Amino acid sequence: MLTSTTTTAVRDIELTSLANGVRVITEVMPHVRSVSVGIWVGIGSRRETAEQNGITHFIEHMLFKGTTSRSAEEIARSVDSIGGNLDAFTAKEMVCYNTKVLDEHLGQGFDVLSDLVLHPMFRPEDITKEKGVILEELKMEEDSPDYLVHEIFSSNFWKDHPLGKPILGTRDTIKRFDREAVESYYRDAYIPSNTVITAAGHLAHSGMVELARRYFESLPPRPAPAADQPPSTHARIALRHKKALEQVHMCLGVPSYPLPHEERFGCYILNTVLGGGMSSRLFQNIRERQGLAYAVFSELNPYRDTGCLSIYAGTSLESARKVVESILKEFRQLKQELVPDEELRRAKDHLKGSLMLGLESTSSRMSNLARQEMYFGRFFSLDEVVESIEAVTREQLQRIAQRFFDQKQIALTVLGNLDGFRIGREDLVC
Amino acid sequence: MTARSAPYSFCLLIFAFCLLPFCVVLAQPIDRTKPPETPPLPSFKLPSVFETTLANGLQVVSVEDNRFPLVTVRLAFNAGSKFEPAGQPGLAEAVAALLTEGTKSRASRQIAEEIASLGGSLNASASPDTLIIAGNSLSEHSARLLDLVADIARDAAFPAGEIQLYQQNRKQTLLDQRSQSEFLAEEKLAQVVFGAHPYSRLSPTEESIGKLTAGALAGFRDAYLVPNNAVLILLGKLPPRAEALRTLEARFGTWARKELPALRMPMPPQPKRSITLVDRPGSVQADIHIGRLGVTRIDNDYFPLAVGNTILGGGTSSRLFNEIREKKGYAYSVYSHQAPRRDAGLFSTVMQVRNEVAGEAISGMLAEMTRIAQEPVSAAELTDVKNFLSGTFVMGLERQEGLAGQLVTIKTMGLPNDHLEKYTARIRSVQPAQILLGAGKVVSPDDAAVVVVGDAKQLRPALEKFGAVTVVPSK
Repeated sequence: MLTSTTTTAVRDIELTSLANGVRVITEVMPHVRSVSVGIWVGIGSRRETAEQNGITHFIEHMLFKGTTSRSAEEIARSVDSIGGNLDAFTAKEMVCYNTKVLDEHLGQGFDVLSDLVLHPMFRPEDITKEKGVILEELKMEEDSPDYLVHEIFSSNFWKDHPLGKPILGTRDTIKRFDREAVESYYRDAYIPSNTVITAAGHLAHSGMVELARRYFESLPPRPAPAADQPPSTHARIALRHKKALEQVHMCLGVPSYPLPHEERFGCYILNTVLGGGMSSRLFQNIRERQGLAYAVFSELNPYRDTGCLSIYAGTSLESARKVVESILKEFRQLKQELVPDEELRRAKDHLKGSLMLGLESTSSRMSNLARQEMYFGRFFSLDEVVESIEAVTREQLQRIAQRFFDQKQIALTVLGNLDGFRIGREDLVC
Repeated sequence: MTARSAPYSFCLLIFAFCLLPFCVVLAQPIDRTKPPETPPLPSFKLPSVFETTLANGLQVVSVEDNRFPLVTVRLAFNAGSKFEPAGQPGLAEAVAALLTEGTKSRASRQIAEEIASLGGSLNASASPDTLIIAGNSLSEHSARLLDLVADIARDAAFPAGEIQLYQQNRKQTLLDQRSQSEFLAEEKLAQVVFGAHPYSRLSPTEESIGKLTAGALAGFRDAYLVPNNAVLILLGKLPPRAEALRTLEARFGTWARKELPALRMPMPPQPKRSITLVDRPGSVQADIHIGRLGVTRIDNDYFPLAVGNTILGGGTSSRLFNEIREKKGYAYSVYSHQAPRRDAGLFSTVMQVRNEVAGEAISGMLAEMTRIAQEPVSAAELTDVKNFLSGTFVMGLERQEGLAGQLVTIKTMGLPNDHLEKYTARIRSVQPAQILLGAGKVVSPDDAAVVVVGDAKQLRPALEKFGAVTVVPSK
């Protein structure tokens, strides 16, 4: 039996790779009673073709519809009956099936989790029914202006690339899914080399590896699929008129660094200073001082090979232009002036505090293990991350701002009852 | 089961821990020829608790939890929206929102910056019964966090500029709320179920927002945010007790006790069947809420209903989920909900369905509500749900936030001090006959109010099968 095990000295983390490529990673937390365990598939919606848009999420739903030995109801009740939670989510670069159970029930919880991932039925009648459920989910989301403005923004920013397509898919693509398409996609994506099993909580690594071997070791190895093409970004301005809306929702963004970029900590701090909380510049200057928006914040959406720094604002039609001008003013200031020492210190402390607050949760740690493995292939110690945060300088922030905030690179989506509202590239000077 | 774009929170820094003594975890394939067994009772033992009351009446509960270098604070007042004067809906939430927007010694921005530098958070919010100040920080900053909590609780200044800004923003968020069918349905259901009782008010009106003044805000604060109407929960990695008490005494000891206003709340009306259709022209979905008066946390029916509610609509193995979503494919989201409050509760079932199937979906939902009130639940359902509630309860207490929330509930809802230790035993003791009894009073749909938000032209004919329909505008 060919396996390899690596132990990290600085965190109580162990990684074992099964012979077929499935990776098993655990982190021991002796002071809790729960264990969170996740089965991660390293292919998300960005690998879909245009016709397949939404199929990754659709399969995530279908895996709960029954296996060769359990009905959908039995899947749900199996975990309920041991006092646990069972959940899943689909993202653009991964899918995760996870459960959280008390330590003594890890074996039963993992039995259910691995069963639903490995032995789905994909019955045609279930496929038909689930299409209806997902179309209802789509209607609910489309009724939300926040969701809609972000989807329109993404589809323009990563135009003609699957990264810009909605995770849920569209009515047209969902309606066309059939058993053949679903099975074919599942066969290609759910392979050992794409699979990472992570667990955090009150457990022993050897026990988790034993469980993983029991269910996953017999899967035949298959080579990992080649990486897809990195997307290019597009600085489009999109004004979407929707008469029924009483407010204006906007999303303004620029290209930023990919997730594994060496300057990522600078990006985190820049985002914190710009719009990462109630003491941030956007919140203080646009919401608190000028009263132009009832909600305003910035966020980073980094992926394997690309990224976006975007700002969302909820405002009125009368204030919409001023909000854009004010965001651009903040861009200019970050490009022209060094962030004061006190503000940089505060942003670093805020970031470190937020990180520390995640320490308690087994599910946060379980997710963190998977993401570190998928994006970095290694695990970072507390000291390393704190050092990286502390190493960020004012000059670095200015350099990143000068690179990111470029009039020609700014994409903007505005959604609302936009009667008479106009804005063009010439209005985006920064 | 959700779709998420994946903003990577690079988070999670980890301390090195000692290796766990070896514990074996082996898979045990489930034998479905036998009924599910009840796994060992998950017990919860509260860490070391210290309770005291300061001379001014402020109750203090501190819980030592040294696992992580964090502290969590809750300062809870019996000062929720039900205490608002008539004509001032939204006053309690406005007071809560403005507590952090400036005090006698700190400007709004200073407060935000101090919180950021503590690496924590601080906010206040109002529910129907309580107003709660919630904060957390790294444990090394616990004294500074308490200083901020005391400052905003005692000395909020309600600056005119901040009130004006709040009014402007709240009017916008109110518009946003009122554009959502779920909010409109919840609002209407609360009005029908609670009648003249202030629980019927879920939000301010544009008019009441406009009427907010520093005097009204300070008046509410001065009447209800007083030490003898509050409990302070402090948990986490705390300083030695004597030092912690000195800090508390310094921050809160000089806060003057005050007699509370005597109020008499009107009783909610007796439940009766009604059908209200909130017209939202153009809606492609019907947002359906069916509900009636529920129980409080100290009602004898609370635990049987907690179990019954979970069987009916508490998750992906519930009856509603299986019937409405899995078998029929009518809805993405369908559930039942028990919301116990201090004076009375609300029990409701909720779903969003496409217009064409609204009538059939309501029939299905009413049938399940009737079934849980008339037929004993099966042994398997009962065991599974008891296990589910016990396990998730214990796991929810692992984090400071979960434990703090439960301690606030104990103190503000009048629960006994041993509630946390006894919770799983009380859940385990529920019998099918008790669920029938509770559900007969609270879930049985004969006297339930049906509220539907959607396009009246399309939905009215389907709803008239269930009785007389009252159509009201959504705006």
